[in-house]
Amino acid sequence: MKGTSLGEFEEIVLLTVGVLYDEAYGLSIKKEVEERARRKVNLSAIHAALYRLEEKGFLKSRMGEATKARGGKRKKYFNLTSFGIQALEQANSLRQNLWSAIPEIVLKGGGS
Amino acid sequence: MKNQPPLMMQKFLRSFCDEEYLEEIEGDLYEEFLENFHVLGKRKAGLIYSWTVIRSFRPYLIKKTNPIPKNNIDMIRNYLIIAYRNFLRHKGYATINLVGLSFGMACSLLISLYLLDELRFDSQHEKSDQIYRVIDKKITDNGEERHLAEVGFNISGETIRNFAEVENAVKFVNFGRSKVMEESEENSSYQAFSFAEQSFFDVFDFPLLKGDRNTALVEPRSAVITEDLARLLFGDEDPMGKLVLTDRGEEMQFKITGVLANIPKNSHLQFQILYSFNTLKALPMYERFEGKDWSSNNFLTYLQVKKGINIPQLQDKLNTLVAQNTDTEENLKPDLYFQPLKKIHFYSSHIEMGMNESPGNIWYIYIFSGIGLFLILIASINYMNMATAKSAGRAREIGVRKVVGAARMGLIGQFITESLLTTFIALTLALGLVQLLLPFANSFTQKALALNFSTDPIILTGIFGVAILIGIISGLYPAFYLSSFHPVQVLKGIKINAGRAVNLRRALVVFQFTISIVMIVATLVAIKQMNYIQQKPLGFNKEHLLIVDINTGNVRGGYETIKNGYLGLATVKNVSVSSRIPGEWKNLARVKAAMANESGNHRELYFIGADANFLTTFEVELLQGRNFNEANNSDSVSLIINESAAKLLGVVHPDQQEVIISAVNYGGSEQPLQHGDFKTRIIGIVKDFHFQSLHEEVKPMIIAYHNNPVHRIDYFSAKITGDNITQTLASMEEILHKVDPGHLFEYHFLDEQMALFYEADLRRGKLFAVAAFTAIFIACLGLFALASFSAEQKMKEVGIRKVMGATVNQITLLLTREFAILVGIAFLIATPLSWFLMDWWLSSFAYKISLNLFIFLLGGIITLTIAIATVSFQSIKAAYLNPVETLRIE
Repeated sequence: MKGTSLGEFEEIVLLTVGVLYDEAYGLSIKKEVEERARRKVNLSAIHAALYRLEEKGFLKSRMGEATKARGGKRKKYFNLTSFGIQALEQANSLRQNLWSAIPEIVLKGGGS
Repeated sequence: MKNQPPLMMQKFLRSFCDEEYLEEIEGDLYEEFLENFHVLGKRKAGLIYSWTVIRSFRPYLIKKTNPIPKNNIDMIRNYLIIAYRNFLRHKGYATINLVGLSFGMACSLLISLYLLDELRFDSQHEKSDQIYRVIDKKITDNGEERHLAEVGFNISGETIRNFAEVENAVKFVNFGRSKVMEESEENSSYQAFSFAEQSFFDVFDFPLLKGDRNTALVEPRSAVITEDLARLLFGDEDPMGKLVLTDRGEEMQFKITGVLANIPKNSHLQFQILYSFNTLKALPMYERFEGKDWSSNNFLTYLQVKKGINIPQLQDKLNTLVAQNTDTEENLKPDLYFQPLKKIHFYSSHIEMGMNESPGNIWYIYIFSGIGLFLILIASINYMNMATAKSAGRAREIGVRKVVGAARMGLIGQFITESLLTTFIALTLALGLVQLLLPFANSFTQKALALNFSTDPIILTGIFGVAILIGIISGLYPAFYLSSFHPVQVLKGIKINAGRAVNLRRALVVFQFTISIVMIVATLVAIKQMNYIQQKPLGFNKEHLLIVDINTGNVRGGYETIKNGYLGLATVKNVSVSSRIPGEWKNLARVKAAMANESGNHRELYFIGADANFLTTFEVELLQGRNFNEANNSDSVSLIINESAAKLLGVVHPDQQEVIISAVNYGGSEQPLQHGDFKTRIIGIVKDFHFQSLHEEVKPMIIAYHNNPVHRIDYFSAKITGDNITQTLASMEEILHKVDPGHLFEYHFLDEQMALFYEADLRRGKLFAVAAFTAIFIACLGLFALASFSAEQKMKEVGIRKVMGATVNQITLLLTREFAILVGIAFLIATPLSWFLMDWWLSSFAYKISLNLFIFLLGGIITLTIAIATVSFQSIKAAYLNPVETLRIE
């Protein structure tokens, strides 16, 4: 099905939203991704991914509270939808399938 | 606050980012910025912030409603489609709009072309703004102020020598008209006998097609000629170096040294040939002027001064210089002033002499610009009224547009697009119409107007500018009105409260008809005044009078032979010779005269020399005394005076009172009579007759015997029967040629000639009539559309009324009344307005009709009748509709 496929970055963002559970908003996601993937990410890239995922139905959002540290602006929290969880599971199972299909010898460092 | 992210980037973010995401993004960014601020410092944090904002500039986040160009084009296309469909749905209204607008525009365009041409008078010279004509202001013995365009010999040369401000100067001198012919004497023409200095080419830019600008008028007996006259005299041959002869003697032969392009019609200087001023050096009289003459009135003088100099100061300096060089009495101080070249055309009605062929009147420029403006305004009002009147039909469209998200500006844009579209279609039609009408307009205004975009970018830009303006003005009110509809109301079908629009519509109709009535009344008054002038008893009979010019001494000497020859013709009833003709009042001589018993009490009177047949030929009534008697030798010193002169001189009965004529003025300066005072005796008094235009009152005039020392005879006047005119003319020419074969037979009919003097008035009258007709036509088009709309709207009301027993008459009255009241109000406003205007116009005539209410009523009634006829056509149609038809539809 077109549209349910996940890009690599999207998958990372989606997983991170799951990790952060109730505390997933733009900046926290960015920091988590940077920490775990050990790479620099621009905030705008996170935003763009979030909206794309929301549009695809993998994420839902709710507006949070405004704090002074945000200049009086509210946070937008993201949560996985069941569809999003299903997409992650699909991706995961696809990966597992592929893993299990790799001949032992390859993993043992054989090959050519 | 110092811990703020770069303001510019914040603004940038807000400007493009969609509202939906903005709050979150801004918040996240700010939070990140604060964290970075504490860790990395302000600069780095700011950089990261900026970079993130720039990276956020993604299609995904950009405002969805942001009008991107492609979208706009789609909308305009949609506007045009809707406009087109509306056009098709309401063909009638649309056509009325188009016809009205294109007529209005075509008329205004023609008027603008005319005005542009008038306003550009004399601006064809590069230094037009620096050229001035020197005018001499004098006070006559009668205390009148006179402004003379001809001044002393020295003025031109001495100003250059003494004043650094004056760069160039040229003087002309004019000696009436002479015959010009080529050597074989086959082709000839009568032209002004005018001489100009070589500096003519320095001051003016008239292009010289052949010859050398620097020397063309240097040599004595050289001349420059226009293309037209060259063609007339020499055909297709090259005129350069050819000889032209004149009838002013052997001396006056000229070599053509230059060919001028034809003088443009909008130049006040008009001539066909100019002779070199240096020719005059050979004349004995030249010495009397050269270097000595500061104060005569003989030389038409133009100065070209430096840019930006103080003109009044220069005038003062010149007057001081002239005063130093003349020894006149204190009360005759010179009063010379400079008239700007560009003002000559419009502001010269009080100036005598000079070469003004057709002086213009700036007031008519204002009036006609006003008319042009009003015509367009009336047409625009039609558009406005119809757009607001038909608004109910479009309310639903507007409602739907608003519901799906059209902004008000978008709707305003839509309606302005529609009006612009209409305007430009009308403009195209108007341009076509103008092209069709131009030949008529040109023959009518005697101008060479043209719609020439390539040479006249002003016209093109002007037209497009005005068209856009009209489109916006006429579209603006409907646009604001229509776009203000509340979508919920219009979609629910609630009737819009249109009170404001209806009142405005009424006011505009009143405005349209006020203007129409003013124009109609003006036309009526003008027609009446012109009729009055044409029918007013002039005190002489101008009908069937054939005037033959005397141009040579041979003819003058042999006048008796010719006169008797003419009298011998069966179709000629009477013949008179005279110096001037009543009705042909150009350059009438004026004399300084005094009664012998009160010598020193000088008065100025007009003067005509005439024979005994004069009174009978012109049918002038003799009140007292007697006519001249050809057999009586003493009559050569007899005078007949008119009533006004009798009053001025205090003569009650003609009784051989002695009158002494001491000086004469032929239109220049006053000069003493060559052979001393002319002592005469009054023998008769005639009734006042209008020897001048009816713009003037009858002035005191003297009729002296034709053989007098003041003014020689110049015309034969023949009273003819009106039968066989061609034959009569041929015989008369033959008789003339027997005396002088070289004399051109120049003749005209006096009544036609006199009509020429009112031609300008008549032409303006006609122009006004055309404009008035167009105005009322366009206004009625609008009224017609409004009436049909109103009838359409009241269809149900009419149906119910009919069912309840109303008659067709009652219903027609009901539907017509509203508009009749509007026209009535317009009439009330128009009456004082037009009274004021026409009173002003009539004040330029010495003899005029009196304004009475009847004319205004007539104008009002005409307008009302046309308006009611227009409206009732629709009303009656509505009144006759079967109520079943109108009430059935719901």
